[in-house]
Amino acid sequence: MSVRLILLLSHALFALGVYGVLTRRHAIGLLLSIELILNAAALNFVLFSRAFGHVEAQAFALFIIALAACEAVVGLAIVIGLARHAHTVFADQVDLLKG
Amino acid sequence: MTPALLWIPLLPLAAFALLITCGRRLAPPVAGWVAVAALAASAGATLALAEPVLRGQRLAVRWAWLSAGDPRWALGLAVDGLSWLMLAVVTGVGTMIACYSIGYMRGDPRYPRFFAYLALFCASMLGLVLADHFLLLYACWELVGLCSYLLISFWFEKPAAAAAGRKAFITTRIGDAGLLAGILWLAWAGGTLQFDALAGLRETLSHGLLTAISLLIFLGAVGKSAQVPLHVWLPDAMEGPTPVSALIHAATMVAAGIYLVARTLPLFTPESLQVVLAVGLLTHLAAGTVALTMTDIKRVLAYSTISQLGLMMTALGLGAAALAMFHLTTHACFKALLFLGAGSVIHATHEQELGRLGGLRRAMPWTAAVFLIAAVSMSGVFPLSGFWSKDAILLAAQHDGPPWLLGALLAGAVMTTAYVFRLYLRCFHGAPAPHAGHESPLIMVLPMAVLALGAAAVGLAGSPWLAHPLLHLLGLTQIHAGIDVPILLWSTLAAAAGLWLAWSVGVRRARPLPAALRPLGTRLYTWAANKYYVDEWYQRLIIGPYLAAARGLSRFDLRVIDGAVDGAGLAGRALAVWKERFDRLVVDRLVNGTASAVRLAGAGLRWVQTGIVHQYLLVVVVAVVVVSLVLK
Amino acid sequence: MLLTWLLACPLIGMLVVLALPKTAVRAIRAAALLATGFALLLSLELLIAYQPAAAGMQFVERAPWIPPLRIFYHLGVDGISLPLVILTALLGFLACIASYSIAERHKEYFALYLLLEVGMLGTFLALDLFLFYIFWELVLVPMYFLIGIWGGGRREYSAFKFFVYTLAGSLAMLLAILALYFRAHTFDLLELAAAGRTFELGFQQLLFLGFFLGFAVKVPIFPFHTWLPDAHVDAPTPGSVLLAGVLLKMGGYGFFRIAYPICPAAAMGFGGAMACLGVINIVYGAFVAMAQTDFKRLVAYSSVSHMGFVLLGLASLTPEGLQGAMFQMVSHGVVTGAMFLLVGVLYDRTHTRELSAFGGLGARVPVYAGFLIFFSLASLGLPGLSGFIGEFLSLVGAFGVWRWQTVVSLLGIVAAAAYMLQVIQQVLLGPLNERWRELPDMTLREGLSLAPLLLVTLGLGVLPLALLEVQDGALQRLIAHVVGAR
Repeated sequence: MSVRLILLLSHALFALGVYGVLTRRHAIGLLLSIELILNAAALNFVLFSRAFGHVEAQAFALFIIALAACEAVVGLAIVIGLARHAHTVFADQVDLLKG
Repeated sequence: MTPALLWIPLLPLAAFALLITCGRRLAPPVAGWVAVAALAASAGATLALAEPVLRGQRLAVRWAWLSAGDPRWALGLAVDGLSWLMLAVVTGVGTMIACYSIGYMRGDPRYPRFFAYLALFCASMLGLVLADHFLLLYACWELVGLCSYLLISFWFEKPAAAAAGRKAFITTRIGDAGLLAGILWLAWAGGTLQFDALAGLRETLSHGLLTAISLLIFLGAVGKSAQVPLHVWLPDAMEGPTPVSALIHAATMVAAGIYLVARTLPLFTPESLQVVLAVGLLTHLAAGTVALTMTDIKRVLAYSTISQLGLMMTALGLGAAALAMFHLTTHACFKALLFLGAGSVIHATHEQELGRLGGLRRAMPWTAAVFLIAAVSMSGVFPLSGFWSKDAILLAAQHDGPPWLLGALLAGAVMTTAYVFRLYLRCFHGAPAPHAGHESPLIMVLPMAVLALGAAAVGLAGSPWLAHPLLHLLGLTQIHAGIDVPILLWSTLAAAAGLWLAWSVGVRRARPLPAALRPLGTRLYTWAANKYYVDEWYQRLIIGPYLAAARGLSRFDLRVIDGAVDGAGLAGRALAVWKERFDRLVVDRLVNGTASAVRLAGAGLRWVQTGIVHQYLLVVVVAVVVVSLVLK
Repeated sequence: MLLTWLLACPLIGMLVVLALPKTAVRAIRAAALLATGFALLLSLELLIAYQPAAAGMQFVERAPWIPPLRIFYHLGVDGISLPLVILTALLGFLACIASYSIAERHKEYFALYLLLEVGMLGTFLALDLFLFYIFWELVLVPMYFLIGIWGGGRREYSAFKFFVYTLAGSLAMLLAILALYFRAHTFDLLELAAAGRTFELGFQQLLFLGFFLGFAVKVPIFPFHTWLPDAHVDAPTPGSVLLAGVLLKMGGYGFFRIAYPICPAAAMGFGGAMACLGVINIVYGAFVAMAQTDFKRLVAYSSVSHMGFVLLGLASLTPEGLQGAMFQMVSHGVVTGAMFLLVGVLYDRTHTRELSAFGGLGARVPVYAGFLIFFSLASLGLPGLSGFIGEFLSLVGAFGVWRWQTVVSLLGIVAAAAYMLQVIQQVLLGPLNERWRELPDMTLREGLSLAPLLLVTLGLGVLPLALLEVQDGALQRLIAHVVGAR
């Protein structure tokens, strides 16, 4: 497989993620979309590691996986809190920060 | 003998202390007798001193007062011939007058108070006479002025009496300020205030300095002895009880000025003696003319006193201190007697206007008799007391004075006789007045009789018949022996002329002046009858401006100085108001302005904050895209 | 410890008064009277134990207070301060008797009154400049309230004026104190006096001016005197007594204790100006007094006139002059204190102080008349009473040095007779004003508060040496110190 194809794949993944973030109203959907964006980035790191022979980049991919796990924990906790206090899990219904 | 020296002033002082503290608990005559007893005891002590003093001994006692070390500020009493004579006058006349007052003041609501003041006066006067030192003399000098004040305004319910007392005190205090300046100068320049050291100062001090100091001291004498121009208080002082007028304002206190000049004569230079002579002569003549025109019997006597004091001052101006003191002694007797006689008349008739008196000779024979003796003595008729003392002065004027002086003094003698006989004739002779007089009680007549004896005979002590013991006592060595006949004739002539004037003009109202001179005579008479308008001039030139200055300065104080203070306060407050305004309008607005600017900006940015996460994300994405495009 | 006890007496009294309930008026009065009485007794014991012949300060107490700044609790008396301490204790006691006429808020009044006495005594006792300043300012506060609360008339205005005016003067003094500290690094008055002689003339003059402003307001010296009539008129009677009797002396004392010893060369240089100010005080005060129609104002202006003699004597720097100045301070304290008590007696009965409203009271109230005449005569300088000695000695001392100033000030003596006799005439003499037909004479309590002053006035006038000998040594040393610095 060529680098170009895999790069295309990661971009597609990223674009899908961004699209999901922008359009999903459900908080869990948002989390999943962010997960997609992170994985796109991780894919990129692995790809460039292979292409240019850098080992460090693979380490970053591992970092991202760990980060994604943390993010999922924190994100799900927020969602549960949100569901408990605001009785909703739809992001656009929570506008406490509206000026 | 020194204890006697101390007792002389201390006894009356003790009487004063007793009377002022528990006088009201004493029955009225007792209070009077306390004072009389104290004075009589003083007189006795004075007599006890006579023997050593006549031997020429000088007794002294001193103690430290204002400084333990500096002899300038010590107090001391001393007695020599001069002060002994004054002591005798004060205690003798004082005892008689205190006796007389027991009768005169009977029934007065403040009876003990009167005798307390009288005793205090005698104590201070004796202290003044005994002082061997300017400091004590000045202290007593002020104290007798105080007593004079208290006694003049003794009947203080009368506004005139209250005003007269104040006038007396302030007028004499002007003279006293001069005396004080003289004392200060002397203490500083001469280094001593002892009287017995004054003669030594003639060598050490410069002539000009001596003249200045002696004139300042003389100013004190002018005030106390009521010489021109400070004579105005004495006639007003007649508002006081008559015994007071007799004791203080005729016999003793007013003579203190004469005593002072006699005592300090070594300081007087020929120039200052000229001034003394001029002032004395002017006073003698001017007061004599005024006395001729007064119609209040006490005022006639007051001006007569001023005039006689002027005569003594004239003698002092000639340098004849002994003669002045001699006249002072005889004058004390006959003038006190005249006042007591006048007091007797007032006591009997409650009237002192000449126009409403007359013919009292029958009702009051004793009073009339002693009054006549005093009048004759004062006129200088041979051989009564007044003759000897006055003739001695005339003689000195003839020998030591300028040629016209004798004439001037003879003119004064004419006036003296004229006014005193005008008084006598209109009081005791002529048609009886509506007031039915009665003879005064024995307690008043007896002292008058004793004084009449003095008025008749005291002069003999200075006469050639007894070889002038009095003048020797005063330290005079060169004395005209025998009686100078031309002077005797002249003075008798003057007395006769005065008598004729009193009879024809004073009583019969004849008009001796030729018609052409009458307008002038009337004008002169008006002037004299108005006391030469001196009081009015003083009111206009001194008192008025003084009060105006006081009021002006008071306004200045209130408006300008206090105004400046208040102004500073108000300016401070105005500044504060202005600062407050600046604070509120500028400083505070800057702070608040910053805050509101931020708030405005925040309000502008509010619409961005929708609170919808998707919109934020969209912005982020778009921004990232844009930034990445830009950075490419 | 005598001096500390002397200070502690009124302080303890104040604490006792504060502890007592508000309604226990009798107990409050008794406590105040006891406290001031004990202070008086202690001050008399001081006089007995004092040795006039010994040089330097006596009864000295010294303890560190703020060591880093070298500030000490340092007390002591000598011939200059001892008469004033006794005067303060005496007037404090007598004015306390007179305070029985205070009708409201007794607790606050007596507490402040005793605090005032602490301040006054402390000012005369302190030998540390810092301590002195604290006591000096401490006096202001109670006096402010005494005038402002228990006064009459425009009392707030007068109290405010008194406070601000005096404080403004004190600030100049504070500047001088600071300048002095940074130069000499000590607050000890004795060390400062020794160091002061070495300062150059310009610095001394600046210091002198600073102290002068502080003291001139208190004395008061023309033209800084206008707070005085207002404060006197509106203060309650005891306040007036202490104001005239003691507070004015604090200014004079400052010159003796601080300005002259610390700035000797400047003091000599300013002698002429001081003498001129003295004469202005004497003559101006006397003239303005003559025009007053309010009894208290008249006495207030007479104070201005009398304090002029203090300046005149002080400026002469001769033994007689300084003796006279000190004597005049004591005598004026006694006599003017008594005059204010007398005005108070009359005001309590008639509720007016207009001189023209009286007349002929001499026949109605003879005891009062006797007291009034006596103290008026003392005030106009009658020989035999204390006023004469002070004036005479001041004049003697000044005559050789400031000839013309002295001669002009004789005018003031004549004018003093004029206004004092005016008072006597308007109040006591003349026909009795029918309004006062039923006027009661002085009560025993009023007589008791005045009789000691009468005795002191008479005693000092007849035997002045008693006081002069106490002062003599200290004044001689002061002259030697100042003149020797030339």
